[in-house]
Amino acid sequence: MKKITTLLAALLICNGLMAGKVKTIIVADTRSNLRCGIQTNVAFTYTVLEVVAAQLEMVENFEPPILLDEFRCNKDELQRQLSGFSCTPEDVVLFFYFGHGARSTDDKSLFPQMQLKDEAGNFTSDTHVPLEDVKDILVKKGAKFVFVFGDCCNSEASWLRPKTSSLVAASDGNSEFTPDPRLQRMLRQLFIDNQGSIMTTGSQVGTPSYYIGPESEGGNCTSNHFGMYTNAFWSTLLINEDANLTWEKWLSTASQLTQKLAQERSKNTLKQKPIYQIDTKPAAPAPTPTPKPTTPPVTPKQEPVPPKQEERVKTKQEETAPTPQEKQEHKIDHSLQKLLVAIASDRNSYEYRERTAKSVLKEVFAPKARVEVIAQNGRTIVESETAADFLERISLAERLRNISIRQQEVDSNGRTTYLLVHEVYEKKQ
Amino acid sequence: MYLAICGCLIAVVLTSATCKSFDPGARKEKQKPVKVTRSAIQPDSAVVERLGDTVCSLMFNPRAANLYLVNPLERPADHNFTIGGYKVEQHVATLQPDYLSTLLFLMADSASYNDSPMIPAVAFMPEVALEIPGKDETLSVIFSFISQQMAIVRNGAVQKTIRYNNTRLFLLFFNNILHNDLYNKQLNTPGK
Repeated sequence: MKKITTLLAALLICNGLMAGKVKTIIVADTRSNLRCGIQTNVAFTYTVLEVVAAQLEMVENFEPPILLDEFRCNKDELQRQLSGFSCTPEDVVLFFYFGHGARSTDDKSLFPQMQLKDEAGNFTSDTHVPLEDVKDILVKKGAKFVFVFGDCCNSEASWLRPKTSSLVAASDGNSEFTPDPRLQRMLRQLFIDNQGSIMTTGSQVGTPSYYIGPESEGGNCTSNHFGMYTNAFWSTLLINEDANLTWEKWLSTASQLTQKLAQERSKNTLKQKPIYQIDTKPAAPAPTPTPKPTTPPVTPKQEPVPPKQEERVKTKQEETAPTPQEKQEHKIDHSLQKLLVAIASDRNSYEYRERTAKSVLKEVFAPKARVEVIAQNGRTIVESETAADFLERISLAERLRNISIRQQEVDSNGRTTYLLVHEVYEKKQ
Repeated sequence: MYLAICGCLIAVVLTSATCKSFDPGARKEKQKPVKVTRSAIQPDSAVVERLGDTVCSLMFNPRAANLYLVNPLERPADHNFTIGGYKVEQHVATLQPDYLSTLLFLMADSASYNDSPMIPAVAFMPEVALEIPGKDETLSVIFSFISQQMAIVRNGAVQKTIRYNNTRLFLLFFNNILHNDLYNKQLNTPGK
């Protein structure tokens, strides 16, 4: 973990980057049959970025990433996010897609279409979004450097029509961090001294990408489940010792590693060869970076993360025409909401749910915190319990599909003392 | 003298009868080759365990089967024109048991089912459906070639989804009827 931190911290702390922001969007279809591998992919990407951010003094530069998973992983939501997405010529944008993919037989692009659904959860040809469209949109937004990564199939489908359309939240940190100048140089060369775009995806035209998942559908998820390409991609960076690593070398090594992994895991019966397209040129000399403030790092107490996340949630609420009750919300921790949904999801293993629940209870809630559950009418309290009881109950729940936080109160230490939530259950068939 | 002659004749007759019983021609008459029909294609025990007795009984004793093209992207509310919820686009053919037996040969082998943890990252998108009418119940099996999965449909709903091996053979079986350009390309066959 230390090495991951060091690498990515060096990646993100480079001087030239300080003028712009690092913005990340992760779209993860955690409701698909690949959920186990995707959860690991997201965790790998998300956790690393979060840990790195916590290690850095980059509150101003590192924007909370946008994670579109579970029910938010749909085309409409992605379009909303991209429409409202803005960046400056100094920004770096990272886009990751983990999920199903396919291509039309008439697609000109080498890259697949993401198999997204509509808000009702249905596939149509129109809900498929080419990965290349995302790159084009992000490039048009004017970011200095755009990186688009897909870990999905690129297999051909005759029924698919050809098409020519939230970054993970990171917390600020105040830990001691001493960047490695060698790594800084390498990562600067990769991310800062380049401008343009890079696209990559897990497989060649007409071929599948593979995820390692449980042997039976509905099996328990473990960290041994992952997307082959995502795993190879990050691993290549982590094990790299070449101070002159280039994108070409990184992606070519990751591609070779993926091919090797696929052959080994399938006993030479399956092939998977990732592809990439590098369209970059040396960046124009960066303006002299603003000297870093010499003031001590901001501590979480002085500038806690939740308010930043709150702003993002509020923006979304405005977009989706909130009810008067929702308008009164404040201090809603969106990442807590995601964690609660993960704990409640019976698609996750009980082991994972229990472990996460314990961790949330310990890290997020104050000792005597209470949780109240509100009925659909928005007024009736149907349950009032301790946070411990609440977390235990939802970690064992079945068909509990969503939990939305309607009200949250925190103490001076940033710990949650009260939650008002609404639970949405799936009806029995 | 007369007695001696009779004795010799009896001995000759007995010897002849004994020799005849060892005649290879006589053995062939007794062990005629059995006539093997499609009913000999029956699932192994692992397949029965995987699919269940009822599904196996319906699947491996077909009188005929209907082959349909289904639309993976359309799931209309009107269930009269759907199989497993997917819109039926076209009734392509009625398959007689002798043609069907090729598919059943694959389906009867437990090695045709994929338990590998390597899962293709593409959604279940069925393109063909096979409807096997039985006495009391109709069984349907829908195939998603792109994700290498089949789904067992009973009472109008998908009962279970199964990943399969032998992807080329399954595709070839259907493409002999469909003559689809994309399948030709995937099979690397020139088509007909």
